[in-house]
Amino acid sequence: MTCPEIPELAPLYLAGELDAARAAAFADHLRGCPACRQELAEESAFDKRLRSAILSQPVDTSAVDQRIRDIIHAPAQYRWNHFAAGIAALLLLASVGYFELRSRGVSPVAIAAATDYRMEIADHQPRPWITNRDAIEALASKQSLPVSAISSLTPAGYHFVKGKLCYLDGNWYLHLVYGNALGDASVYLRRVDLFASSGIRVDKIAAEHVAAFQHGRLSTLVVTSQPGEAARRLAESAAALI
Amino acid sequence: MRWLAPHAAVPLSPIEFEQVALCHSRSLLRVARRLTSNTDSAEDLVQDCLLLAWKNFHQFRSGTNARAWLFRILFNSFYAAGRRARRASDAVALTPATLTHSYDFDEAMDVARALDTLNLDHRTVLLLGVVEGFTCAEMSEILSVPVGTVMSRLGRARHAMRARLIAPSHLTAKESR
Repeated sequence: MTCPEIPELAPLYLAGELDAARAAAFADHLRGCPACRQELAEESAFDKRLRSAILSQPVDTSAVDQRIRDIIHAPAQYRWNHFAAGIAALLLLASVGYFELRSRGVSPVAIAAATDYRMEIADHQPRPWITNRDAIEALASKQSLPVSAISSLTPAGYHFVKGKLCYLDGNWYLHLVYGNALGDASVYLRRVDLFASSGIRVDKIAAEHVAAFQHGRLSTLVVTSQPGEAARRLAESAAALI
Repeated sequence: MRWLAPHAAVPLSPIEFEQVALCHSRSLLRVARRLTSNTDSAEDLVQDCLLLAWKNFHQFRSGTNARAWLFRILFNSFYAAGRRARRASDAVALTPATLTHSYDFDEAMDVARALDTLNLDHRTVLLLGVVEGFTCAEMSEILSVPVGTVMSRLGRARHAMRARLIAPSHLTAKESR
């Protein structure tokens, strides 16, 4: 075995994956070559350093474990509903025709917001929601959003329920959920680079209505399963408050 | 796929799922956090992975490598959902309190930061191969790439990582993703 072969085969040697003959040849070469021996020793030390650093960070899986346990131990019908809901949401774009929606000028982010709302709000897929207002305000601040948004965007007759970060069409949005006796409404907020203002556009996407607009540097989407006029009213109210 | 039973097997119970799959949630979340660098997103990814595993658990061949099977699902979910670009501004918070007391905080910070500056392919093979202890053959199956590709990525990843740790000024020079 030659020196250039050593770095190539080192991952297999370190993982114990070399066959017996090649492992023996590898070991023979190391015995006679201080440079390769040194290189491999450094590689092993580096591996140990990386492993120790990453493994030293605690990992709390209690929330995920509990959500999974809740689902797998649930009665079969309820469990099926969870799967069915997830599958339905994933198939949502296909069933309503993504390209048909796009041909009508519906934006990808509006479609993504409708899908997200369907999964997380209408179908109650388990997610790590934050209900504490201070924590949500801190999250808003991290996203360069006005911390007063949670209170100021609360539509008349609604109250703040929960929030979290979510990812729509390539960007992070703060997802705020407001509720009243008639149901829930979601507001998705993102700070954008370009200062602009646009009118409110309302689209029906499957069972959801999505009202989208930009005001200043704040891009906003309001999603609800209530009638389209309700979505428009909520969006108008949000636009006025912004 | 060697992890899947050739025929639909007897449905397994939730208890069996907990023993075979849920016990690996720590490893899954540890890797997911470094893929997404965001705790919420990582938890969502692991949850999606475990729900998919539960849904397909009847196809899992008992006695085979459940951990590798789960990681394959994790990476499939990660790529399928277009999470390649998902890196939010609230990166995993590292504070002295979040580390175990037996390990030096600054050292862990340096290593974690250096790891996060690697491109996704390099980060992935280091996490799977070095941290989680998968063999090159297992990584090849998890990532659906040839063993030779895994080996060369691992070699380049180690080289890049060592260079960053030796020259901390390189930490700011992010590789193209």
